[in-house]
Amino acid sequence: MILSNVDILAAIDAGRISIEPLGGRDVSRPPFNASSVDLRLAPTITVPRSTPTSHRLDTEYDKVYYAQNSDKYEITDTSPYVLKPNFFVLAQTLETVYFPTTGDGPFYAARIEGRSSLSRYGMLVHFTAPTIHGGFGPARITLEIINLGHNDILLTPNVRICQLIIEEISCRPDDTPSQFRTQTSATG
Amino acid sequence: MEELELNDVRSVLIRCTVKGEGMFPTEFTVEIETAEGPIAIYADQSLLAEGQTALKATRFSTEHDIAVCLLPIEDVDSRWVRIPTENVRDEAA
Repeated sequence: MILSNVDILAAIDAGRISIEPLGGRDVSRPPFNASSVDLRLAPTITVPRSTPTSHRLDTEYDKVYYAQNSDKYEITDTSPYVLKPNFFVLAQTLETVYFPTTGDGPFYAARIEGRSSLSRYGMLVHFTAPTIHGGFGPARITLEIINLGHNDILLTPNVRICQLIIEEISCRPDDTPSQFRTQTSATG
Repeated sequence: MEELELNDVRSVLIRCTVKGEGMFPTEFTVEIETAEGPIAIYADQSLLAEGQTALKATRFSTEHDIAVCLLPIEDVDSRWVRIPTENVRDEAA
């Protein structure tokens, strides 16, 4: 079940979801939509450099090496990042979000989606990894952004870059088979 | 079979080591030791505690000397990890 704007705010107030800083509490105005909440762009754009290294998908990549071979740009309103057509960058949401799996629930997960008002420029904000699972955070959400349009796109901080669609999980995520969930001890 | 400790989900700290910078200014590359060996992850500073020597996570159960934990990040092969209990303790402790 997708949460409405009212239910998103209620879940925040109940401590079952955290979005900090929340851009406002009036559910009839941004950052709230009817059934999502907009998140803003944080002021750092990260651009992985072209290196001689290939990415093996069956091997954990060297995260220190990848980070060291990335350029980080701090953007401002007057000094935006110019996202060229067919160019790929990483960014983050300004907001830190948290979906706890402790306590009695309910429990939530979410998906990052683009905003229709930006989609016609040809910009993708999450083109491969939209899911925010239960238990995530508190942390910023990483965005994989690419410009598939024909013109430059100027990325400025705090712009509402994406929307978060929040759904209730059917039960608490667990590490045990469901048939054992109500047992206090395992029997052979 | 060994008795399992179920329905004991709680916030914990996993011992970690900062290995270097992350992809963003508020992020670090950290390494944690699992039962299968070390893994490296990107962790926002909001997920680190105790002078960046501990990673916040959620423990779901403990069996023998292994705690089954859920990592609070997405950029990892599996968010379920098995951590030796000597490297895990309650966050509030």
